[in-house]
Amino acid sequence: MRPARLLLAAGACALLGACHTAAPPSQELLDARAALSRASTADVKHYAEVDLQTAQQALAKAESAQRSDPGGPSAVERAYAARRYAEKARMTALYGQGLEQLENARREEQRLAADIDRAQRATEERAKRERARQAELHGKREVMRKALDRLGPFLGHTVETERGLVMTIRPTDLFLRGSPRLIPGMQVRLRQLADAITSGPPTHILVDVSSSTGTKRLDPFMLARGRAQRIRESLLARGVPFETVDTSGRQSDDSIVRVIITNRREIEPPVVMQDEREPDRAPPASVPAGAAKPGVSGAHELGRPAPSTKPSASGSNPEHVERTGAHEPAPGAR
Amino acid sequence: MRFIGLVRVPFRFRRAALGALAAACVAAAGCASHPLPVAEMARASTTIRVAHDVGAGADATASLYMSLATQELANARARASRGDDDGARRWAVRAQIDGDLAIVVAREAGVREAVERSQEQAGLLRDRLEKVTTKSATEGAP
Repeated sequence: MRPARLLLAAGACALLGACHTAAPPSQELLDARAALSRASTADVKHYAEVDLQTAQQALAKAESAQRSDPGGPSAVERAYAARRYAEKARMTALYGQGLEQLENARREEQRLAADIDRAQRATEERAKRERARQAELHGKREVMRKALDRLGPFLGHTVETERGLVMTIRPTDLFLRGSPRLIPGMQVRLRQLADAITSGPPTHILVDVSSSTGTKRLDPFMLARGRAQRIRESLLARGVPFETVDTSGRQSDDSIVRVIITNRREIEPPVVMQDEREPDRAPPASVPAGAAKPGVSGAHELGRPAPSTKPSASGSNPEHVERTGAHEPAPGAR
Repeated sequence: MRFIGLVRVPFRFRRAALGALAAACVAAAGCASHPLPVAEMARASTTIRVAHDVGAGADATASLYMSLATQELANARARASRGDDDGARRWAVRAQIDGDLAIVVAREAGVREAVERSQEQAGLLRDRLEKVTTKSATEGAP
């Protein structure tokens, strides 16, 4: 019987022990476990490893205290400390992440500020170069204007337009009547004109000649074209770059020689030419610079215009407004 | 005759002497484990001051922890004044822990705010760069 009693007593002790270990954890301990679970992330391990270890150790002590004295002051205090350490670890990790983000953001700020500074300096530099270039062009243009002024009445009517400097010359002042040949002595004038042009800034020249009447051998178109060619040759002979001189010869009600020193590198054909020639074959809106255009040629590519009885002084062409009405008399009129 | 320490004690009093010595040791140990938690309270007080200095009052969460720590430190002092050293120590430790947490939370809030400001500034700079670049491209166009 004695061993049975001993066995019973041992069983009772074991039961009591089991009851003792199965005591429910305090709310503080549950909170501490939850806080540590929330803090146990890869980021926290990376940024706040020491704090996380401290929290884990504090929780282990709290668990131990809970086992030895469930709900006792020591267990409660340690659970409280473990919870706070876990929260501190989490906040320390956030702080570390924030520091990294701040460093990146400030680096980005510095990079952008440097880019802005560089872009502004480049813009200022470009503007400075452009101002210098404009000043140089202005100076050259002034030199050219003075040289043109010295030519005096030969140039006839000279007007500064949006397209450039338009010099309108009466054909009778330059050419023999009904002929593309120059009046003796006029070659010198053309050379002077070429010298004036070459003293100016690089630009394109448009020689635009129109004739209202022709001869037995030459119709008005061929006469105009021949005269334009003659002027061009004179300019080229004096050093004006050949690729910068275009000619336009056409038949018109007015007989006019116009030398246009353009402002732009791109030369557009006179609007009147488009209207008078082939209205249904107008060029596309965007013609590349330097491409052949109807009515304008580097030298010889002019097409013969269709005969027109329409007055050429169109109000839509600003150049025609500048015309002075220098008509060439018909052959035999004098 | 036996010797206990340097005192010569007759053998018949040996047990009584040892008992008295043990009791004295226990009493001394008891006194040593419960001094006033002056150092803990001082540390907690310093921590709360630091938390205040780093701007814990400006952030809601940090401010909450700082208030908690201040209250806990007051509790610790109250307990100490009543002679409850254990209670004073427990409250002082809590005040220390909550003060530390207030510091970290305040710093984190400060950094977060600085990041937001910096990112906002970067956005403004990005807009400005775009304008400058566009202007530059426009002016540089032939």
